[in-house]
Amino acid sequence: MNRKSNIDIPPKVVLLILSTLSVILIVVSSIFSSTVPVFNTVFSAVVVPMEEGINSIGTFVADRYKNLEEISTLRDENQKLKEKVAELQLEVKNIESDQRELKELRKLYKLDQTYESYETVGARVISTDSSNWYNTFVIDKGAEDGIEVNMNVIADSGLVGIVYNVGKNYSNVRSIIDDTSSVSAMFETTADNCIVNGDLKSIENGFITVSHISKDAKVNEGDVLVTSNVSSRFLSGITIGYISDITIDNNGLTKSGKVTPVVDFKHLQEVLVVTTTKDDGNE
Amino acid sequence: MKRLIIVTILILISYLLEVSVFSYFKMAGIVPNIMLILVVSFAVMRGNMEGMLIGFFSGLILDGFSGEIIGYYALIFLVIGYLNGFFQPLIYSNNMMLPLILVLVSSLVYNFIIYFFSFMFRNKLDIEFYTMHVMIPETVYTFFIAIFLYNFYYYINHKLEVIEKRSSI
Repeated sequence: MNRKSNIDIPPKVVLLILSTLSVILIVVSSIFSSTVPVFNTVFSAVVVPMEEGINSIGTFVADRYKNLEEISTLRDENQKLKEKVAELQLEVKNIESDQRELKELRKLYKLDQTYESYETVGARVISTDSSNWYNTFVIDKGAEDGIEVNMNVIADSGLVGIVYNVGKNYSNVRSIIDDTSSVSAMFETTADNCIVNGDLKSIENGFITVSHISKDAKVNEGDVLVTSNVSSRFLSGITIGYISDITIDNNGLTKSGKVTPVVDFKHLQEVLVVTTTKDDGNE
Repeated sequence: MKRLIIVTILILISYLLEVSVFSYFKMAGIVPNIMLILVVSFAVMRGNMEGMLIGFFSGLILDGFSGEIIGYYALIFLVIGYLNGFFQPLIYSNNMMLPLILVLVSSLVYNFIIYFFSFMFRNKLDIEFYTMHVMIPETVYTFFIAIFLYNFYYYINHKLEVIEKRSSI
């Protein structure tokens, strides 16, 4: 930067060179849609360790702060919970017997193909997106841990998003609430197909939008949406959320509505990456 | 040389602050634009050449690590750094008013460019919503953080200039 005093290149020329370079980079990277390896290497070696450090400090501080806040409320809660425990113990016994029955039924109908059977890798969220326009984040597992592009990411037993870029020890994940995200989904009960779109505007109120529901689909508010079996990138049967506000579109042929995701995207710290991809399943 | 090292470290710290630290201090779900403060601050203190270079490399880092299209943020920050550099002759001593106003304006312009290319092009036309819920909150938050950061950068730049003057004699 003190080059300026040695060699005098007019700023206008530098501006021209650098903007041309930017435009070339934009064109090249959008055509090949793969990142420059240099960035991946630098990111793996320098940025990821630092982010992991900051992340653990941040979690530590946040936890301490929460502890102080929560002590008084916890005392009250503890009392209430003790009462609840006794109540629930009874219920557990009932459920246990139900569970046994369910297991047998599943075996019977060969339904144990739900996502409990998918293999997963646990990962921590180490950084979020830098702008307020997108909902993407970085996790601390990468190619070294067997992560590949298009692997599904889940948490709280619901769909979080999909891996779109993989480095040596990190991966970028686009969450389903991102404005550019769209997921092919279906109703768990009726198997009617629809499309779930992320939306920056409605996520403010905790929703994402769903469109292309057939006019004749017999669906009700509160129905569960899961990933569709016709999706090319998402494994089928992963819970997305609950539908509400179903309305008929202007074209009179389709319906749309809102979905409340089951995942709490505001406090996402640990996620599971499903290492089975859709392609593996078809083989 | 010293300047190069210090500025590189500052860019890296700004990036980490933005993606890691400030995600714990979100206000209404909004993260301040730390990188923009760095670019504008150095542009007004050092002129359009340095503003432009810092802008370009800061943007490049954001691009590269977001795993998406490369060159997008680099171009935006490049232009922001260049244009803000024109105000350098108007900055004297520790006057904070103009730099802060420039951060404010730059933040609005930056957000509008992103809205224009990433949202309006995809037919998301409710500009009022995006202005009220993303652009304005981010700008306000960025403005307040800039009050502290600009002073910090001013101090660092001042130290660097003293060292540079000494070594040039």
